[in-house]
Amino acid sequence: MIGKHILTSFDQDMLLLREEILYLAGQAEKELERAMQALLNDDHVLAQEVVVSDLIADRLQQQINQHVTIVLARQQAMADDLREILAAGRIAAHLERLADYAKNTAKRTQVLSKKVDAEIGAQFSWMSDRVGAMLRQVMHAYQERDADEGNVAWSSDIELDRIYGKLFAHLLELMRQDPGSIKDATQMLFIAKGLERAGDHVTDIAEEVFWMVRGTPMQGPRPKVDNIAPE
Amino acid sequence: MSTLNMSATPPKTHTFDMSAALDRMQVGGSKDAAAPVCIETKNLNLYYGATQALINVSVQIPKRRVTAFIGPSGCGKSTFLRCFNRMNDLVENCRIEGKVLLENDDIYDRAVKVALLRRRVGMVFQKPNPFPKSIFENVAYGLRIMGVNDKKTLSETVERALRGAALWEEVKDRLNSNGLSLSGGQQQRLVIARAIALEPEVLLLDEPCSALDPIATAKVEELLCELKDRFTIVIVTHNMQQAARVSDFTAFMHLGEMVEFADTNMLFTTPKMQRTSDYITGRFG
Repeated sequence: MIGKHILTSFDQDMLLLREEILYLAGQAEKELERAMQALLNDDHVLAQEVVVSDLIADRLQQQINQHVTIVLARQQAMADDLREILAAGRIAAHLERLADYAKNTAKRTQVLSKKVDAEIGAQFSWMSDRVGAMLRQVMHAYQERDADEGNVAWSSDIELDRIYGKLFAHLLELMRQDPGSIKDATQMLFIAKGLERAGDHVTDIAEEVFWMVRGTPMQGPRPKVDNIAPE
Repeated sequence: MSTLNMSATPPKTHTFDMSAALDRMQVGGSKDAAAPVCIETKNLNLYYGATQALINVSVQIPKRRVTAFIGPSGCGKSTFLRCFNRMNDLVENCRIEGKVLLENDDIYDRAVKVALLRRRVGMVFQKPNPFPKSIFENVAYGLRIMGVNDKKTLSETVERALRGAALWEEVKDRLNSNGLSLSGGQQQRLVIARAIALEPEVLLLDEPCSALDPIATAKVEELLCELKDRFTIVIVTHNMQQAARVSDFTAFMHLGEMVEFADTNMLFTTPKMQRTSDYITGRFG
């Protein structure tokens, strides 16, 4: 629980910044979900909506950056307040990137020649759900200033890496067996990579939350699967 | 290793409703651009003998907002503030040209009664200056001068003013104690209570916190933010950070000129004038 500041305007500014961050997180999460829905249902209309909606996240990020600048200039925040303001600017950048991946998925959906098959779709769906769950957890950690909860999302990214590795191998095999599928499979590889990168951004947010709460960086290497040169 | 139990993850974040928060937001520009004007100066020039202290200052001070004047020592900000309730009349060899309008009334018109003007425009100075009287009498002083002696009216007004000055809870059990027995921060809030007891339209504050510690300063700053709903507040401060914290609008003055007058968010993040930028970033002053 954060104590009340003597200056009400200070508390209002900090609250607003938190609300803006959570709103942007919600926007990113919503667009990731809609992009996945568009992909799985081969819904090009919805995909186009997602592409257009990316502007909302862009604008929100700009707004947060402006607000961070104003709060820094006006409130002379110190200690954990100062870290929270600095973290807000960086978290906003990660959230905006998540929305970019949603847009990217939607654009690639629009050029696929047919609906993704059930097996691949299930893998995408799993990855998307995992990113959403990690994001919700890390934003809850942000809201509650709970470094440990953020840590759980940070270390669980490895599951996402594993599924990405499997999907990657599956798509390569598909291309090998059916060269006619290369065009679609390449798009799907990028979509999968986008989801894997989205997970990385969520773990970066977890690191920001940890630093914001504790004032020190997270220690130790994050558990990872090397999908480029697997052992 | 910890794994994520997805069924236990928090609810979806995009159910969060922040429409009210977005509405409050004023990032990138002020909603106050069209705020009504309380005080307006037109081509104001002020001379102390042969020395010109204010040069063609034209400005519009918005109503029921906090406006801060900043600038290096000797830039004319206190002189400018004192024009608003004709305090400079008391300075020998002081000569003023141009107009100062309070709600469109020319306050330098010959017909204006200065005592009445100062009832409309209260002032608080750098050093707290309570009278050597009880806390109650300090606040009641202006009313008594006006001939108000009804006990109930006085009590109600004193309580309202002390509450308004965020001092009531600290002094309600010792209203008969001497005002000088209070701490510096409390004395300054007592003086503000004395000023607002007369329900002025404008409250001028000339470096009101420079003799106070940081916590007492923060309390006065919070008070200003509360009072702006009822009064137009103009504050002169050496402390740029204070101007940034409390004001809605900021005026930067230099060598008797009004260099820049802008929404505080804009002035401290994207000033338009090079001189303003140099001053607020510590390049001179």
